[in-house]
Amino acid sequence: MFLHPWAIAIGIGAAALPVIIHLLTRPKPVRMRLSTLRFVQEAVNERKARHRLRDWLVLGLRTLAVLCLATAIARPLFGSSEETQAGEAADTIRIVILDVSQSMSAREGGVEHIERARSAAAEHFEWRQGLKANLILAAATPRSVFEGAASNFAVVRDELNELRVLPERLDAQAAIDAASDMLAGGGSNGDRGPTRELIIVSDFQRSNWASVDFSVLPEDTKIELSSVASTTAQPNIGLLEVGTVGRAEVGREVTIECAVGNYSPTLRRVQVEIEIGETSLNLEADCAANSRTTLSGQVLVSATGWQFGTARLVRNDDALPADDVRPWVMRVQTAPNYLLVTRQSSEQVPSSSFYLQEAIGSIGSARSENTVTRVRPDDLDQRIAATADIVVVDHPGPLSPKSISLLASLMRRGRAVLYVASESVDATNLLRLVEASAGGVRLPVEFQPPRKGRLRKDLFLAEMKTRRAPFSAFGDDLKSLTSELRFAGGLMSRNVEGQLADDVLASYADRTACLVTAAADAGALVVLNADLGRSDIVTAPIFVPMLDELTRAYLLTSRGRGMSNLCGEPMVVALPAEVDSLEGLEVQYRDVGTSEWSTSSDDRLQQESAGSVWSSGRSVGPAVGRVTRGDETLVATATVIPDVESDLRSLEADVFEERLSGGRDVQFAFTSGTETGERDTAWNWLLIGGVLCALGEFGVLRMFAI
Amino acid sequence: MTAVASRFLDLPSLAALAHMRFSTRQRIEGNYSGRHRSRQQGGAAEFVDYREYAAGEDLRRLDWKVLARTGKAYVRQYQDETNLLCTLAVDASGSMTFNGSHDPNAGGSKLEYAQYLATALAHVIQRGQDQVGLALLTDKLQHALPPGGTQSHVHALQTAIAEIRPTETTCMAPALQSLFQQQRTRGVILLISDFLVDDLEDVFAAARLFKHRQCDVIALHLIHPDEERLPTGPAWQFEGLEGEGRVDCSPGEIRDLYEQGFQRHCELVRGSALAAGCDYRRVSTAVNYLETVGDFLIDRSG
Repeated sequence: MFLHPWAIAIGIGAAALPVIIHLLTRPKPVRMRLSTLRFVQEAVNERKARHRLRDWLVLGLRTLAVLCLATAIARPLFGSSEETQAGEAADTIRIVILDVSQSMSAREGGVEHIERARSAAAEHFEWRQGLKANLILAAATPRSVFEGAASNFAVVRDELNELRVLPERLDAQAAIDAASDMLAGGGSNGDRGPTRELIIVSDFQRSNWASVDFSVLPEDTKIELSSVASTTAQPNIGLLEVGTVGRAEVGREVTIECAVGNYSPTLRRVQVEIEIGETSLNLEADCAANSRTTLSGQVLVSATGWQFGTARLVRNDDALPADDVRPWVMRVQTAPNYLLVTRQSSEQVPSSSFYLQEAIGSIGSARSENTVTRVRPDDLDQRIAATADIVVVDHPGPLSPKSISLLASLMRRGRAVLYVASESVDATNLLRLVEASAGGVRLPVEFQPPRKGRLRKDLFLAEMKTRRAPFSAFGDDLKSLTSELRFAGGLMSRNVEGQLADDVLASYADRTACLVTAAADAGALVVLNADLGRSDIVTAPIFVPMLDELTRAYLLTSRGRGMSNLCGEPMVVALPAEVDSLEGLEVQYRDVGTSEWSTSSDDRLQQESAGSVWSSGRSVGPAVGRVTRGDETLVATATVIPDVESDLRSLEADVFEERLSGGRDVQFAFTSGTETGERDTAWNWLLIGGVLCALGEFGVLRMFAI
Repeated sequence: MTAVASRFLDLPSLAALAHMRFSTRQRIEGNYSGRHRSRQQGGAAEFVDYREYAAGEDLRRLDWKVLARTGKAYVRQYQDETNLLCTLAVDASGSMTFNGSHDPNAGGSKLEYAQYLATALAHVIQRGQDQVGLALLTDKLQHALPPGGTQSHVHALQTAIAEIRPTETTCMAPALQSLFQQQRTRGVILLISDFLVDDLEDVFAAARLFKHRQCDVIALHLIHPDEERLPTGPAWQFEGLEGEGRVDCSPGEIRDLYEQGFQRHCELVRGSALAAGCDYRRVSTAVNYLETVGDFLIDRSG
């Protein structure tokens, strides 16, 4: 099978051309009488004998050169689906999945992959009897031109002409599922039903295609994978992530981290220019080949509120320019507010809550303005909770359902809860908190009240995750600082199957958990399993710095969590708890490189039981978006290109044919003009063969001329 | 009877050669007394030497004075001088008509050159009081005139030369053998040919017969400059003059091979001639025949 069968005719013409030219321009011999033909005959015979081999070689090489050239132009596609040709006379349902994710805008030889893909896909929409087809534009969410296969190819071609790359990742499985539904609608092939063809035109990025499963397709589906990518990965450097380390507080230097992916085979020097508000920061570093490097720098922030900016790779000429710029937002806050929920009286000294309040008040010199509000569990309500950045629960006694629900709601909205579990009732509280989160909180252990008559005391730390916060900060001194510590109180615990054991940061000698962290929706939950009033840690020098580390690492919002969303993905952003009404709220977006805000009516603002949320079924971008009331920005987010799109490495053909095919007939071919593939490299070799034949002919002529 | 002069006889031009004579380096036999040394010794011609008297010899040759003075009998020896009998053997094969042109009537052929040459030589030989004959060689002895010295004989001979009609033949040895059988005298055989024959070995075998008969054989090898090398041009169709058909070829591809083959042939002819004891002379038709005749006569006289 040839990609350009017409070239064969041209090749035959080209092969005949020299003969025709020779016949047309053959010189008319001049007659001459010669004394004797003996010497001419001898010379001719001798020359024939001498040059017979040369003439045959030259003829063979020349013919071979022309044939190689013609065949190379014809682009043979060895192993391509002959069955497709055979079945052209029958009814056919053909679904073409065209990858329009961000990586398809990668350039090679000055041409974007999408342009090659566009023409490759268009070839499958030529009308013929019995053919029905549909086009699925695949990105984060697949979108088909028709609901099912149709024969109105003009519409498809119009769609192909107008399509553009979306700044989204590719959900390949979703597209295949959609194609499967369309293909399955054509009946069975066993009763002479239609032939099913699935054609996928993509760059077949590893990150998007490594886990697809073709087994969802009808078994008789013929799958043709048409790659527009190069077999050798294109070098690309992309900005993968930008954010702050920890909480950005006004008047303090905040660390900005920027992750850069170097998807090239050599070490590259990269320079990143980061702008945020009125401030800018230049970062420069060497990025190792095929790795992710994090660059960091510090800026001093002087104003509170949401700030918007971009990070940009400077002087980076690579295959995918789109990932060289990344919008991002930063929320600059004042010193965090702590809400200490305890039934202990502030006048009860010493007590667990007393030590906690004192320690929190002295966390970090720069946080001397930390405010700690003490509240009884019964008085806890949404108004009080809205002002807190971190909720510390200590000796709360039995929490009411309302309080449990409120705490779960706070965590869902990105707040952190430090729960000091010291009494038996705390096991119940934690269990109810996990249940109230509806799966949002996944503790690695299950806490249980201690058995009756078994006192928990003189417990010492037996196991700590020394490489993780809060212990990593103490380095080699950790052992000496913790060896003398004795804990008392707290709960029994047992591991929960399927949860992350790494989230148990420290354990006692009786194998019960001491310090546990868990993701809780947008917030965080940390459980300290000890009665601080009966433990000597509160008087140890490690207590305050450890609490500081714990707070910074797990409780305060880190790396702008919740401040960015992926383009094309559904987005839900919780509005601040103080927003009690949607009146006057407006959603605005600002594209990268522009300064104008435009109001969006596609996004939704709605009031839910847990508070107000800003949601979108499909995030647009790359841009920064915000919800404002008047001039005040209530919440902001950046919609960014998924970092998986920066890695342009493609999957090998045999991975599809052997591992992912699911028993289906999968054919893989390269379609682009400048790339080669295992099946489509023939034309390259033919071209080389043609050149070698021409050179060989020249060499033979030279050799026999000597 | 009024004789019509041959068109190849250019007497005004030949006047320049009037003082030159054709001579031979070896002794010959002639019918008449002449200026060439005869193979015979005796007579009253030029004294050569003494030798002792042998019984039975003619007493008239005894040098009585020496006998009287020394008491020994010596015989005086004298060199006879006789005239030269020269036979012009002209090759009349088709290859001699080569003139370097497609037009056979364009002139300048080897045969025409041979005709001029033979006519001039006949004239010079006759003027030297010698006798000249003619033999036209094809695949047989086409025409033969025994040597003669009269004006009418030479005129007839020149007429026969002018009327040579070449034939397509590639053999010459039978003709030479016939000539050998017809000719009984020891003279000079002047073989004028391009030697483009298939039986070259036989030709010089025949020449050796003449040498054995003590004849002086001179081979004049006629070569046309246009046959030494092939013409330039993309395509030519060569036609053999001896019924060999035609050959189409591109001369550029075989030029070197052709030249090598032709030079080998010339070397073969020269080598064969010298090996047979013949005197060999390469004659290019590019050179004026008078100059060729002059040089030849000077060379022979030296």
